[in-house]
Amino acid sequence: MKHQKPNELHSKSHDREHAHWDRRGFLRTLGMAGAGAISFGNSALSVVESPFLNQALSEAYSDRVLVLIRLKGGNDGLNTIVPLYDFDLYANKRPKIHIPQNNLYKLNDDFGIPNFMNPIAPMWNEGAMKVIHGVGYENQNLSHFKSSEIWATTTPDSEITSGWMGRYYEGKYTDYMLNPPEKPLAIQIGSGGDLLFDGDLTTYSFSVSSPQRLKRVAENGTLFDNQNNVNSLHGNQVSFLREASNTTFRYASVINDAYENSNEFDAYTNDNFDLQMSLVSRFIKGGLGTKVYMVTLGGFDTHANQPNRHETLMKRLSHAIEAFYKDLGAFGMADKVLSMTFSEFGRRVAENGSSGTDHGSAAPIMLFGPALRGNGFIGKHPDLRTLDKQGNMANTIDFRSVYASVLTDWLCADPSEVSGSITGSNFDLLGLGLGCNGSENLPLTNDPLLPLHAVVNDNQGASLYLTINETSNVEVDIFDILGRKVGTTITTRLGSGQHNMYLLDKDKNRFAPGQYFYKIKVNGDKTYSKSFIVR
Amino acid sequence: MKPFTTSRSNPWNAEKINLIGRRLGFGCSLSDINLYLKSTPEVVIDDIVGGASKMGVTTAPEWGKWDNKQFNASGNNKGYYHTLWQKQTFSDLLNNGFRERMVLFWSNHFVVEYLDVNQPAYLYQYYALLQTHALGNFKTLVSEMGLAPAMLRYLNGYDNKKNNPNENYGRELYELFTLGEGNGYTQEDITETARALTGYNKYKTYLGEIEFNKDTFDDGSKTIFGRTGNWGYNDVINILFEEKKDLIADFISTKIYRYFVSPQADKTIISEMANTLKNNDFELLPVLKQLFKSEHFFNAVNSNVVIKSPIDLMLGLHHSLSFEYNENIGLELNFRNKCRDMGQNLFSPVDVAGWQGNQDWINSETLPKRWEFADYLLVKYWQKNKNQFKNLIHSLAGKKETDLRVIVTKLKDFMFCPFDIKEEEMADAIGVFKGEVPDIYFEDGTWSLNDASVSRQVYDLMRFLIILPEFQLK
Repeated sequence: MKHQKPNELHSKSHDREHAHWDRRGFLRTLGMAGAGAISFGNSALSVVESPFLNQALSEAYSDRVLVLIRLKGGNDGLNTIVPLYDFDLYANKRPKIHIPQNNLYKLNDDFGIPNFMNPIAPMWNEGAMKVIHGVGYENQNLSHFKSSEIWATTTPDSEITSGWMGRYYEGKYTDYMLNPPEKPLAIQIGSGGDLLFDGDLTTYSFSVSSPQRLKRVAENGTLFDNQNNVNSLHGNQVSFLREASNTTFRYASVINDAYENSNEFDAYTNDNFDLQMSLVSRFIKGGLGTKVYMVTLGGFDTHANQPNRHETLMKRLSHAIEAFYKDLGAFGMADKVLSMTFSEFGRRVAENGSSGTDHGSAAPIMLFGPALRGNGFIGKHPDLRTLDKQGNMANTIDFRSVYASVLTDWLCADPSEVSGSITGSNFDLLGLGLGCNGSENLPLTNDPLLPLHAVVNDNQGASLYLTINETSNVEVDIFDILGRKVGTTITTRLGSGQHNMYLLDKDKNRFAPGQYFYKIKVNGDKTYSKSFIVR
Repeated sequence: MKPFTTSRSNPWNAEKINLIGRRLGFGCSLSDINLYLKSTPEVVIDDIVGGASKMGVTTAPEWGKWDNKQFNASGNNKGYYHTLWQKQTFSDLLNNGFRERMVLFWSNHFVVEYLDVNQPAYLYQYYALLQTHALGNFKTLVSEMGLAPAMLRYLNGYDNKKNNPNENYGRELYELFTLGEGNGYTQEDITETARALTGYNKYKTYLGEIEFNKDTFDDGSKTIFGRTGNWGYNDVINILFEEKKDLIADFISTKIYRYFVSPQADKTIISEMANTLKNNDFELLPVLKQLFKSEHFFNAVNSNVVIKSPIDLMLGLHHSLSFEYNENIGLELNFRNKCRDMGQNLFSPVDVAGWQGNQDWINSETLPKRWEFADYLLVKYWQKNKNQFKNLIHSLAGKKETDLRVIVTKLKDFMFCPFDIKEEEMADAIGVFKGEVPDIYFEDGTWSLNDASVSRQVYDLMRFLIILPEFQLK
């Protein structure tokens, strides 16, 4: 948890509220004022209050949950997702520690997982698992601490001490300090001291392992005033401690309520990681409403005796994930929960002299959850033949692209929220196809006739979501990146309200993945245009 | 660095003695304070630091040199001996003050995680090494640390062989122990260093003494920090301290400063510390004495700015009150368990970089435990002897004081922080202290500090004070 000088806290967040008026605060103000439209200075920003938008913000997809699984110490990606397509080279580089071919479960012809990860094989087969190849970043730092920091802050710049989720929340909830949410935005189980959820103003996560203990303290304790503290290092420390106390109290009872409202599922063991996943599940099932969780499995720094150690870890991971999704499935919530592994780096391609591996670079990220609606690989596996002078692979996907894609496609963050969260390098959206229906990432426009439109990818192709306020004739055309018209013009008359129309049907049109534009013409007059990506 | 001198505007007082007690040791009692008040800062520091430097090593246990076979034949599992030594360490922490403060500091610098070492004799040998050099020479400590069996196992020095190098120790030697991350070394330096450190790969007996084996030593030429030769273990240390003297002195001075003075580094003071270190060939005693005798150390801006570690919290409360304790579980074991639950399991820091301390100690899980465990100690004192609460307030405020604000302030200042607390919390504190005593008794002069109710009143007030955020600072 971090703090600005406390007497700046109030004024700073107040300023920010005006500088970056977020939609949530914006709509609340609208609601209070009861106004039809409102505009700000010379920003030309105006909007008509739409019941659809309000509802979207308050309800739609608010039950989606992201579980970040931190594999602490540097997980060996090559022994997790084994490259069958270059197996001989892989095995030669790792005479003692490679996974033998007869101990592999094949995900497809090119890649396999070790048999000891079998508990997750059904998830792959049922289309509830995907793998993103070769995730890392340029100029890999081989220090655990620095690299973990880079993964959290998304930049090698040591001056930046906020994390990507912290910045996402700070951008989204600019009035957090004045008006904290009733439930924790994020919960972190296990290791503290991670920058992931740190913003510039505060930390947006809640750490917990024993809800009963917290509740007991919450019932007996006191709430501290945190205004008008002395401006000195001592004063800042006291302020930090007060805020920590307040956070503890603020959420202890809601967490306990969620815990008490849910039941234990019997597939978990006493293992520490199982316990973490079972707690997350209890909070989800108990209706806590927290959207992001981080759990930690440590011990991946396998410099020596890797085969036994890695097997044990992957068994624990696989078992917990299997149990977690069975648990959520039985409760009917499995498709609302996406899980994602990550680690500060992968390991060296060649084994070292101790049946282990030294610090490496790129490694796969695994995604779990039936919401994925299909198994598969994203991106290209790094080349095992082109290594840097340390003997490490070059990453093929920047981890920032993964974060940006999860934010966009799962948490339905809008582009400005994503660019506020991700820094340090450019990112691409990977197209995870998780079907944010567009309701949460529709940008505001200055035209009351056609305020909201956006394209999203879904299973079959791409759909246009638009909301208009007066009955109008609408024409939609699609162009490719060279400006050539694609397909036929859609002409229709639409009433006021929300509409959803197919733009591209994958089976029929067989469009190549890539960038396209749509143009919407309303009543033969006004034209709106925007680019989108077909995956 | 300007030495601290007493003056009318900057007197030698209980607050400064408390600062010494909490930062250099683990808290001090009222009788310690009264004793030191009669002395001068210079004499007190010489006494504490000099005394610690002359202290002998804790008596070796009979299993201090055992190998795996001997442990297996002993009839107890290894965990038994590990716990035994954690208890011994807590006993040392409780009794030895500053020397063990330094041992704790170094054990969080040259980190080993016991679960990875898993050999109690190695743990003892590591501990004895820390005690021996805690206030000795930093270069010697670095040099001997790399050959300690616990370290050879923990950072894979034991696995680091000719043709099969393992760079784990080489990296941390620079990144964590002497230079800092990315500071003055390259990946090539690490690779070459790992080669020079090879050869310590032979157990005399399994998990017993580790010997140098010239057959697994990489006998070729290596280039470290631009110097080429057939370097071995000692050469690495010598080259490091010759080539990177300034960086090492700065790195270690910064760490000492942040630990003992303030999380906010003062570059000027640190550079003076670094000079003292270099001028004394990395002897630690001169720089520590210089720092602790300085005006800067006692400056009020550095007071109560460090968040207590769990050990600070528990031992500090225990030492400062010096109360009798209801011992249904041994104090050492109890402290070991409680500190572990608050995130400080002795000899098992979170990772190879050690506990980062300060705000990292605090989260929504550890903070309630801190409240609960400090409270637990008070309960144990209460169960043992209720009168000691009354006696303490008499020592602090006399028997005649009737101004509740004065009484509460005296206890608060003694227990934690000389800074003012918020008025609403002061009002709460006074309310708690009044307790069940009717208001009218305070107004009409019926109540006095001699009343039977006072023990309970002080006890309740303490239980309130330990929940205040200020109690977490030292």
